[in-house]
Amino acid sequence: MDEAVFIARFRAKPSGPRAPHPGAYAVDGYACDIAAFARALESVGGTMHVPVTRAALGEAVSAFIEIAGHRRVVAAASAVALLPPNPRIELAADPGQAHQWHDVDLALIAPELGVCENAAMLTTADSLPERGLAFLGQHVLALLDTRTLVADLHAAYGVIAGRKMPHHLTWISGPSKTADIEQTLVIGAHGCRSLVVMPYA
Amino acid sequence: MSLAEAEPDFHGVSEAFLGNRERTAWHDATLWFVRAKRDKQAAATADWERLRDHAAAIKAHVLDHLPDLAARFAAQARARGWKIHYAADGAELCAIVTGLLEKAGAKKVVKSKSMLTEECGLNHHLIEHGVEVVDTDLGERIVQLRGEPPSHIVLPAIHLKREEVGETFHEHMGTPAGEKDPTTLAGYARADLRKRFLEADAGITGVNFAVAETGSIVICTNEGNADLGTALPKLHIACMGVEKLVPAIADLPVFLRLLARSATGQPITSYTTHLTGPDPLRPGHEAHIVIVDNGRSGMERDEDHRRALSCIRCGACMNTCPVYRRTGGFAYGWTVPGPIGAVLGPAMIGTKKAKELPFASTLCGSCTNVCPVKIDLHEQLLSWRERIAADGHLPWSKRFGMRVGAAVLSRPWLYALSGGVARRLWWLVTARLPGNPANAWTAARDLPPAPAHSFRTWWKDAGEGDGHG
Repeated sequence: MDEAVFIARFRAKPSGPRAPHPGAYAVDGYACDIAAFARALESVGGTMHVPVTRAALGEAVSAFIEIAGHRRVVAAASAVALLPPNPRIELAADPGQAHQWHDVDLALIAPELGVCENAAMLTTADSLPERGLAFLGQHVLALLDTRTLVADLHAAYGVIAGRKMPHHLTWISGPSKTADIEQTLVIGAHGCRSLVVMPYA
Repeated sequence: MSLAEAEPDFHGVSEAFLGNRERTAWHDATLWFVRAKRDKQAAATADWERLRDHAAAIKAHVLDHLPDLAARFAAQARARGWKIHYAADGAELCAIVTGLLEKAGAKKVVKSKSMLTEECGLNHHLIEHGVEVVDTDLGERIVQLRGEPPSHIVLPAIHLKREEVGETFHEHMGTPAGEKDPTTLAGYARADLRKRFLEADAGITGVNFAVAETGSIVICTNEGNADLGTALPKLHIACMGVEKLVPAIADLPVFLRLLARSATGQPITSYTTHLTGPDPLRPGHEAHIVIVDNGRSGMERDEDHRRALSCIRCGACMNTCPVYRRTGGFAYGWTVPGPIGAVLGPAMIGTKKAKELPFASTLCGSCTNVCPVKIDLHEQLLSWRERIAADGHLPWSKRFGMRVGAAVLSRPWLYALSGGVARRLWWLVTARLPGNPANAWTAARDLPPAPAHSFRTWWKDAGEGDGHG
């Protein structure tokens, strides 16, 4: 169907004045600190790693991989940039070819910011061009700079505002989950089975 | 045949569901559990009511500006590489999607949850055209394997017990008989569906929000199925009703903060994905959006009911509804059950077919109180009842009863006379009516005994309002 014909089926407002947009929304009341983020993360089924310094990040990630016994570990370029060279960690080359990550045990990502209200972490085509990696990896380890924390989702969108919308932008809040069978919570639906956030500063 | 072609039989189907009392009680309690999770989140959100007001105001603005927003969205989306298609109805949507799949040579399709495509009968159409279409939301996959429609818009398999899911998987996927652990069962589905994601030629998704400012669509899931379904196949087709438009990116947090809290009691879904055009990193990746009317323009013109187009499909009205919780979703007989389904039903499938639906409510108003975008659902149910009566679709018993009632109540002498007669014959009524299948109201209720005197007699005896009455 032609666009003009389709749009003409809708008449805007039949009569009277049209409702104005209510304008910007102001919110307050959410704490903006690592403890608030950790509480929200726990409530959505994620796990908070103890905070590490930027300098100790490489060592902490190595220890995490060893302890969990992950075999294939693939990292987004943005995560690799934070770490010293590590033969156990494979760089996610050719980010558009997602099928290559079907057998990844651990996906390492570095989200752009974290939201204390709901533990959502921002990933976009800039920080995660390797989009499929975050969903195909059996487990996800997110390296989160605690300086990027914002209190609530409105503040988080404020950070995006003004940027050209990247091809993809995903808020990730905890691991994948379902309660479709008798409302019983199952962590690990189609995406990752576990999500650990390693905060650093 | 799609659901929209059948006539809902609310009484018949709900009676069958209610026949199993243990199942009904369990269904009721399970949905109340979801309602309680929603309440906890609402109570923990300090600005909850202000947020609802704001969301309702944005939606009112959207409904008053649909043509402008649709044009703006299309222009922005095209600039980012989306191919935009328009469908007047379900048949056109099906034809467009089939055409796109055929052109791309796509035979294997993974689909994430979309009530719009359920409404339009897309799955059935695709299967008829030789396309292997797999629903990937776990609940939708379960009902697809059973050949059933979803019974709830957020929790499609909420009518089933774990044992039944285990049997279904055993029958269709060869999993061990007798398995009923939800984690194990979800694990089987995960393994099976992962293969299908990797092999799929195309992904079909719904749309939660479409942003006019940027030409982006937003898809919310907990399972990550829409993300796998769009990140892997070379072709993505998103299907949306025109009412999913929002003006700007800054409007999104208002709705996202309400949606998951209202739906499942989470602060946000696990994955909230914004997609803007095809992926520039994937050569040959195609991205299409089909914008559908299918009855929405008619609703937009209906001053009394256009507000129902604000619905963001959270399902909170179902979880709280005392009728839905006890009858199950199938009783409503078309894609969207519960209070919002009983409001959308008459508009989408006509007052004749949906004549029972607005009566499937106690008008208690609980749906209105939980609606995140403040749709006045119980008022709309009442107004649909009036419309159904005006269209002449009330059953004869109600029409006749109302006519008799009007005749009696408008004549004081007849009212006094019939009162006297009724008091004398009341014994007959109390003996015969309770438990009589001919009268649903007294099927489970006793009638009180008749008073010895009428109010008028009592008033006269008491001295006609001399202050001692």
